Amino acid sequence: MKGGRLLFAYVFLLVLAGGGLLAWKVIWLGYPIIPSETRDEWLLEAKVSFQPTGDPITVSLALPKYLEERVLSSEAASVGYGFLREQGEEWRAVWTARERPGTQRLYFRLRVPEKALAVRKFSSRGDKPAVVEPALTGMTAEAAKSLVEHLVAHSADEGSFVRQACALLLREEDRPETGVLRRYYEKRSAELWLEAAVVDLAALNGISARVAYGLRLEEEPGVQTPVRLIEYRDDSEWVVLDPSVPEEVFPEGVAVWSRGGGSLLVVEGGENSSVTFATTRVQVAADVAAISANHPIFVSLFDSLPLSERSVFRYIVLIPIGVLIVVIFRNFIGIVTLGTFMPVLLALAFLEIPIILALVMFGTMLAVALVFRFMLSRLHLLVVPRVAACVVVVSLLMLIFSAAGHRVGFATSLQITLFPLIILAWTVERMSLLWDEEGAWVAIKQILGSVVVAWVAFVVMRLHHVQHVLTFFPEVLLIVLAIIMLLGRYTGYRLFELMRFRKVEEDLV
Amino acid sequence: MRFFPKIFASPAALRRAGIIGINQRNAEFVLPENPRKFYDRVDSKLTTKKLALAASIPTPTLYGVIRRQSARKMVRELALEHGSLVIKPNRGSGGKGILVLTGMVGDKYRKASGVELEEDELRWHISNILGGLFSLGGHRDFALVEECVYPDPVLADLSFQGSPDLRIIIFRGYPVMAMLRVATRKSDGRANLHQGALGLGIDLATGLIHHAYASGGSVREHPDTGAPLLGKAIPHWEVVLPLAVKAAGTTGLNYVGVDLMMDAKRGPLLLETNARPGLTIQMANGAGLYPRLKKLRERQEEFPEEEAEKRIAFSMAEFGK
Repeated sequence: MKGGRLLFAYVFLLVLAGGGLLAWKVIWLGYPIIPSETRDEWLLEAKVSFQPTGDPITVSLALPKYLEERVLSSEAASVGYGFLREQGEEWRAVWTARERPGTQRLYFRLRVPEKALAVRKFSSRGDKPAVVEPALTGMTAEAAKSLVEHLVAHSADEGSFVRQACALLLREEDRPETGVLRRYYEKRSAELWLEAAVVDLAALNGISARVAYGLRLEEEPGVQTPVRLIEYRDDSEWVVLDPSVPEEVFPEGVAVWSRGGGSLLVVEGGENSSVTFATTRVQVAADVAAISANHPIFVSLFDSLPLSERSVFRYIVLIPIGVLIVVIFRNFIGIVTLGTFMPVLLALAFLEIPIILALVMFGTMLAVALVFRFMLSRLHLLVVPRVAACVVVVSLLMLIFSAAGHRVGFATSLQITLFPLIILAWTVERMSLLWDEEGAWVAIKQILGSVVVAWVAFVVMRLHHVQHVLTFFPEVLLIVLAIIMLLGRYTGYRLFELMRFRKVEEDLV
Repeated sequence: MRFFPKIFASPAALRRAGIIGINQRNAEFVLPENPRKFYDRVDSKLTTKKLALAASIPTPTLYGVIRRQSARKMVRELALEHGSLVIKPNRGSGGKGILVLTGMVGDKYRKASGVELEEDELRWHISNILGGLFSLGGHRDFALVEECVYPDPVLADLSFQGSPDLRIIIFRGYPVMAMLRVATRKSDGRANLHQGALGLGIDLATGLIHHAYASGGSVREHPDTGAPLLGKAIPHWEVVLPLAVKAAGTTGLNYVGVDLMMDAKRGPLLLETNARPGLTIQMANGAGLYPRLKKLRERQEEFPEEEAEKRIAFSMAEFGK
């Protein structure tokens, strides 16, 4: 066999590289290859972006001071910037640079245990700070005064006063004065009007209140804007609440980011600045967390990625496993699938959505789109517009499914991106063609083949062990590559061929 | 008798008989023997035809090429002029998208099955071909309009509707194996074996049918017509192998399936060539390809410049019954 020796050389090198790195990490660095007890951690990432004006740049971002001692690891990603951490009264990240071209993006990442994020009250050593009365005049002052009187009459302490104030301002129709206040504060800041108004109303009653910032703890990747919060001082502590839902003690799934009255972000030498957050929950083996912090990039590939990319990373490392399974099914068993790697995409969708639901969705979408396709075929459209029409129908179906899923209460996070629309539409097109040309049975057989392969791929990809090993030891992919290359030289019979050839066996000499 | 029905053939028995599987065909014959750069010669029927014409190999006459939607007026004129014609995608695979029109009834076309076809439906079919629906990989394509082949009566009698076609595998210029595919009621006029058509193995030396295979196993008679199959002679056999070898020579590929049709008047015509010929020819012949391929590989390495007649004579002598 030509090329055989070269192949074995490559395979040997790949296994050596992958296995060597794996062994090094496991034996010398002590990475656990078997997932041990896990604990929940959150990775919080703040991203600052702005346009430089050309002046020297100083960016100062408030950090969660209360987490200072619970942080497992933190890092600032910023090429070309001087960085320092102000630690004192406040905890702030400060980046400085002379001149930078184009839109700037600075990152600050924290890893903290989940438990540390549940804090809602902050004890304060000093006396109550002096309250500065807001300078209101004319109609605004009158309206504020009247509201304060109403609130005092309807509250018992600092907490209920602030909560009532939020509730009152949100229900504008109840009292005409709120409208006056709202217009006044909206003119000052369209975004912060509610918080500013509540702080001022509290001040008029002698209560210290300040604006604070938080973020939602979301497992799905995505970019969020800071959640605006209010903190007020009662007898001994500062208490944080979310003014948009004043009736709740504190909404679940929101963590405080910065408090203490300082601004969240100060940018000098830049404009159009903004802060966004991204969060990810990680279940880490307790010991991995300790080890992985400070190793070179090829050792801790996963840890060197920005947060928003980690959840994608988890899928990327699984795809080769799915592909390996497709190879086995096609070249060793001989199952015919509709589109070579379509089953892998289907398996990824299964990972995202409960499998029964995913199958129902896939089946229904396929069925409806097929019916639609057969209807279209009577209209005698040209090919590309027809497939495009199918894409539109599949998109609509996806929307309906997401909405219905939401209504019913399950699958709040249908990952639309992972159910590849275009591929599904082409699948429908190919299937209907197969249906016409080779009969329904062949088409259904191929779809079933795809689902079976996807299901097996899903079962393997879902295994906790597999996910653990691939996430923390991506070098295993080199070994997967070697295996696939070796499988590529298999020239024996496929299982289905043995079935196909069984009738001739008797005839053979 | 075994207690359980037999599900799998024994790999050892298949290997002894030299049956090759898809993996082996690809790894040992298709990939190393067929250079990628020549694939266009077999994938594009128009190129195949041009090469055949240059080598004076008879093919169904090309009436025209449809590259644009608006060309259907041409189809009407051709249909009126020639009576019958075939429209096929240039890069179609496995007989997909082939439309046989046997004449016109007023404004409509008549298909081979007798069903009438509206002008609008014809337009739709052509647009599907041009859109690449039948082509490998879904690329844009064009349609060929060519002469409708009326099969030799000897072969037509073997088939239940449809036109039987001959498949000959040529390896490094030597004929390896041949079969005739005939349609059955079950296969609905098509010659695809997995749809229930029959595969009839042909003795290379004599051109006689020596073995017959249906998807259920080997048979002796046609399941629909009851006509005995074994021992029937393929007409013009003496010119079939030289033509197939010549056609394979034009492709530049070493492992080729050559498809021919036997026209009642013109004799064997080249339909198309195939760079990945299927494996059912083994079942049709009740014999494996591997021993023959191995023998031919040795022969070709021993006599690299052997002439076509001698190559054919070698195959006939070695592989005839």
